[in-house]
Amino acid sequence: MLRPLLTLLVLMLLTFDARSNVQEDIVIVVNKHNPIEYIEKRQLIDMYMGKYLAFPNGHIAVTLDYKKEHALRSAFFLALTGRNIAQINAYWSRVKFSGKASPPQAYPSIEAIIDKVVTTPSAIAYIPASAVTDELKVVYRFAK
Amino acid sequence: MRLFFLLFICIPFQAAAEQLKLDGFATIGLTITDSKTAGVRQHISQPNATYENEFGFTNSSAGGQIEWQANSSTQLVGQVIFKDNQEQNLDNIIQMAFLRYTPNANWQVRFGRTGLDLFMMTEHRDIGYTYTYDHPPTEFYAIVPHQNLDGADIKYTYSFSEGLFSSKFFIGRSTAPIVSDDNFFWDVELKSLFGLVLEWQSYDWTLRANYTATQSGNENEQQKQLRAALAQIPNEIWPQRPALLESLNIIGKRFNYSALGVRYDNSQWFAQSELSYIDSNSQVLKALTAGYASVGFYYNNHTLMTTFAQVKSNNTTPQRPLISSEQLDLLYNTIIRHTNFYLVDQNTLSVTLRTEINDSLAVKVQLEHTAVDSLPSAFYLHRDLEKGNFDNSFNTLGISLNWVF
Repeated sequence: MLRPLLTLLVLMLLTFDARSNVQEDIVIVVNKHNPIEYIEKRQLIDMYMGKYLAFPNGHIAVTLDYKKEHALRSAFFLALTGRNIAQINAYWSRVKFSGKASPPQAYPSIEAIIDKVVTTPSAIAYIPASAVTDELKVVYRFAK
Repeated sequence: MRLFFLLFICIPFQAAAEQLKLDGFATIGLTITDSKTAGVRQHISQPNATYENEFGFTNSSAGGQIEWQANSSTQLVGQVIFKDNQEQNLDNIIQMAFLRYTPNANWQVRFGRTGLDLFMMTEHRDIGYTYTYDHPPTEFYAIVPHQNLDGADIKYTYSFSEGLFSSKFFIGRSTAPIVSDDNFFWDVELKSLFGLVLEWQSYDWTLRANYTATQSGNENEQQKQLRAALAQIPNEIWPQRPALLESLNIIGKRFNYSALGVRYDNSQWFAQSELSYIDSNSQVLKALTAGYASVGFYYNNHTLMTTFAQVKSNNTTPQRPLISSEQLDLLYNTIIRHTNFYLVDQNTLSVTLRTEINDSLAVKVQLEHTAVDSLPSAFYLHRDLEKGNFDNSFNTLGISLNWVF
């Protein structure tokens, strides 16, 4: 009897955690050694829609994303493009299956994304503002 | 020691696995129509069609894609598609197999088998999840069986403050089957194929222009037989015989495809339209003009869209021989089925509802009304042609489940 309740409690906490992430400010981060200081929203759209993968200084960017089911993903793409996640998934299927571009490498958690940004000088990712560490540089912040 | 060995083989594998992406897609498509004589199909490669009182599943397909990031600038991509084909062989199943080299953000080069970037949806038209339509508009897309290119392309993208401009040049060859009535099958080879695509993309807008030129690289057995039969007929009996002989001589004939496309999508509503003009120096397809326009809107997980598509060619039916006999009539009827293959004149009005069931599954329902001024037509397979009472107007319902995984 106790076990199902505990499972339910854990699930509720996990759900709360995911939703709390969504409610937070989302920031765009790069490796702290990356020379760029700021990215325009239009450039972010080009990067995360697979259209033009470059930083403002022309260097190739490695965009990082979360696995499809991650709650932060739909909040991010809605803030970035104004499109819901179904529209984004259909768009990326179109780009991917026509062989035009490859979608960003997907990671399961915020921690995994941060680890990758810290070890990859050309990486760019989105995380909750509260998860920013000294190893990262914030280059864009979505207003609530 | 065993643990060390295990780590030794696992580390590279894990590293490689991280660079490996596997994706799949599938569509289960049901087609119902009230057409008695025109068998409905998506494009002219399909060997099966759906008639009145039938449940057609020939618009179903499934496949997968593998991508391997070999290093920061080199990627290998392969894609296979299983669909309604006359022949299921490796050449038909492999839709893409290419190496992509991206030296910087502006330049991209691909070698191998890529999608043929002819129209906006040509490269992914068998993957239902990727578009709102139940199937790409027949009047615009069905006429071209070719979907991939064996060759290379080079693309240059430049970022302006207002949007992105890209230009792509491609060159190579392509083969795809044309299937028609009475077991007609021709694996059409397009050789010396090259083209240029110019595209402008801003936040809401996509504008594109395409010009592709190619030559026919082969002919089929029926064309040879018809030429041999025609050669026996004196010009006095059939004055149009030299022109017909020329029209049956298809190898080396030039075909040009010109297309303009536009899409506006502001995430609330969208509009998409394409116009194309196909011309050649062959009597088989002198000139064909096609176009469609769609407008729709998003509502939560639903997309509602209406589309009008039209096509018309300027082919003319050859004159009969001056005298009539059983053999001459048979020859004439066989020849006009060849010369009139691209004689098309029709339009379709459709309404489509797409609903996202979850993040990777969508159901689509499309009801369409087609008015045909010319039957038989390349778009369809046919029944009871000899009765002469063709359906010049019919309705088709398409329902499909579309996955990506």
